[in-house]
Amino acid sequence: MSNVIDKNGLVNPGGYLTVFNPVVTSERTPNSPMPTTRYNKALVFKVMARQNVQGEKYTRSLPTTTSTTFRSYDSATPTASADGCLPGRAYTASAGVQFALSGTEDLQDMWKTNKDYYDRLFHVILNVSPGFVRVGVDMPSGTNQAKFQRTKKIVGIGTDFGWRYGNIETVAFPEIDVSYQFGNTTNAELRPTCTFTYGEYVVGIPSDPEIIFRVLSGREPSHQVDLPITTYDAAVSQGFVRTYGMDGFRVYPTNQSAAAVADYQRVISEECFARVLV
Amino acid sequence: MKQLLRLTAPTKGTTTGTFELSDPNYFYAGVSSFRLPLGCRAKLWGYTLSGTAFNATLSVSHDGTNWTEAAHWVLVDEGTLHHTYKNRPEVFLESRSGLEQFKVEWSQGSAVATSRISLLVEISDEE
Repeated sequence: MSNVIDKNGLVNPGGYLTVFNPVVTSERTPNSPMPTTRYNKALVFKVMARQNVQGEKYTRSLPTTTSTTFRSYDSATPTASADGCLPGRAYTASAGVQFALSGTEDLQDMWKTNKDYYDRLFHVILNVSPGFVRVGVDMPSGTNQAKFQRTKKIVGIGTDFGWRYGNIETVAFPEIDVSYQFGNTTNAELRPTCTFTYGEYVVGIPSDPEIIFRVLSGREPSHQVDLPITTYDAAVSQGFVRTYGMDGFRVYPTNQSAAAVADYQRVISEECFARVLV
Repeated sequence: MKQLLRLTAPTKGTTTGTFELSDPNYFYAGVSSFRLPLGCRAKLWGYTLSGTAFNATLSVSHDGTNWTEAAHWVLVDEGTLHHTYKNRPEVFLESRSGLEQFKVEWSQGSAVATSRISLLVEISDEE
């Protein structure tokens, strides 16, 4: 384990967090020897501090009720017998579920903020007990992004693969809706426990393009989280732009440092909001 | 992923029957057979039979219809029978299709509800 993260998987103050966008962008560049250029983007944050560092756990029941709509792995129409239950052979509806919390910015989703929270980022690690509950994240909310062979086959929580058991790590950005999916393929009605380990990071985007390049080329240690997406929904890209002024830095090969640094300098000075830079 | 379940259930006032297995921590209600999550193994770490004399039979199914006996335990007299597999739990069922399940049945001489079974079962998708 690098010293970028602590024993709970959260980034230590002073460390860098890289959020990698796995969707490849294709671009025609007339002056390039290649007819098209393909690249990924990533957001780089410096974690300046962590709020409430002594208490970053939150345990609660599943946010389902007796009126929550579920889909079935069989042909039945499952319903929960009590609040917090996940019926046997059932998984959550396409809209997913969110964790409501009174007193928060968005009462229906405790992790959702708006662009005024540009200096905050929630790094959220969800552990579910029992661990054989299937877990998925939809970004934006209600959009299943689990795909196979490009977008040929839709997979995910309701299919044989494209999901994971028991835990999931994500970053909750301002302006971007996220929902969770839960699935129970056993025949027992479960009462899952959801434990969040979260970091409320005070963040900024480094204003030094050399640092951006060093992080994205792996020369500066950082903790990387991949966005849980396979198609770049406009709700996601526009959410980034509304909050930060841009939607990420292009990832260059390590032997193109000069071009990368020049591009990063342009993005920092022309696109990034000054308030997000550190 | 590894999840330890303490599946427990009482006998009922019949000479034979199927235990309604439940883990009070995680289950809303008991089930007469437990269907394994796809790709998981069921590993038995230990069992306890307690109360008056009864026999318990662990059976497994790969399709939910046809059952095979996997283990048989006998509590010969009133008391407690306890066994732990310590560092080598028995893998008694592995899910390949998602249809695999297991159940435990009892038989006893008298139709009394005075006994209980507890199984310590690990559900895991690891070796």
